[in-house]
Amino acid sequence: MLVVLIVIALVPAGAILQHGISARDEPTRGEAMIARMMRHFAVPAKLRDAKNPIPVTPEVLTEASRHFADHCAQCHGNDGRGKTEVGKSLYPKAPDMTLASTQDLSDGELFAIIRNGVRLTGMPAWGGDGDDAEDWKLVRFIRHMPNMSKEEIRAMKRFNPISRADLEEEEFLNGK
Amino acid sequence: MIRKLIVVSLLLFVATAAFAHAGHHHKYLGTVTAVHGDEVSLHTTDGHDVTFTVTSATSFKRGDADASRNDVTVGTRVSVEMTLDGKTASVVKVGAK
Repeated sequence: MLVVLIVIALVPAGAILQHGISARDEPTRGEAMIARMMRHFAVPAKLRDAKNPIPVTPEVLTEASRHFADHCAQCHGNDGRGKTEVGKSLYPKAPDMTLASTQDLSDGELFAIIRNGVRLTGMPAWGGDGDDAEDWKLVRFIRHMPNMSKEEIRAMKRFNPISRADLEEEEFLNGK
Repeated sequence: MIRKLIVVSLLLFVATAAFAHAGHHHKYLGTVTAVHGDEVSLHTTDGHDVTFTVTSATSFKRGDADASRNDVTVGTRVSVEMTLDGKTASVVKVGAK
């Protein structure tokens, strides 16, 4: 019995020694729970029930969508679904922000997560002193995500950072 | 017994090599030189000749719009993102001719 247990234990140990521990996998339940705890702890008590001071206007949504395309879309995607090369490779994966797991968070929680980031995940801390309005506008945009049209998502592409390789590809395909 | 355990352990350790994962997606930029059925040949911008396969899972794009495999003809400029097997195209972006 002991021999069987040892052999069974050696299989994952051998796999780890051979390939290392990969971020491609899905987090275990324990890891997912820790990540959720870290997200909870990113929110100071005073912000948990805070309301968004920025009104919803088309101008605010457009401005925030461009900000999101430039700073956030590499991981989250312009549509917020996280199906990008980086988003799919993070550990834990970038969430689908159109789903209840994000949309059910309060405005204050979303603001705090943007501002503080989430430790032990790929979410960095953004912004700083004096630019609260930008982050509150992003919260407005995140609320709008489940209802975005294809045209809105397409319009954001102009504001995605473009690498030199992407630029070369674009120029080549255009015959330059 | 200990010898058996060592042998079984070694076999299991070696067996894990079967789970080796592939590397990054590779991308080619080039001009189509030939199309034969599902095989497309390309002269790349860095001077190499490569051939890749398109399948029903390959997606074709022209800008933001969908394109089709019929748009891939000799002389067309394409960008090809390969699957991890390095032989099959996952995305073909079709450009000018």
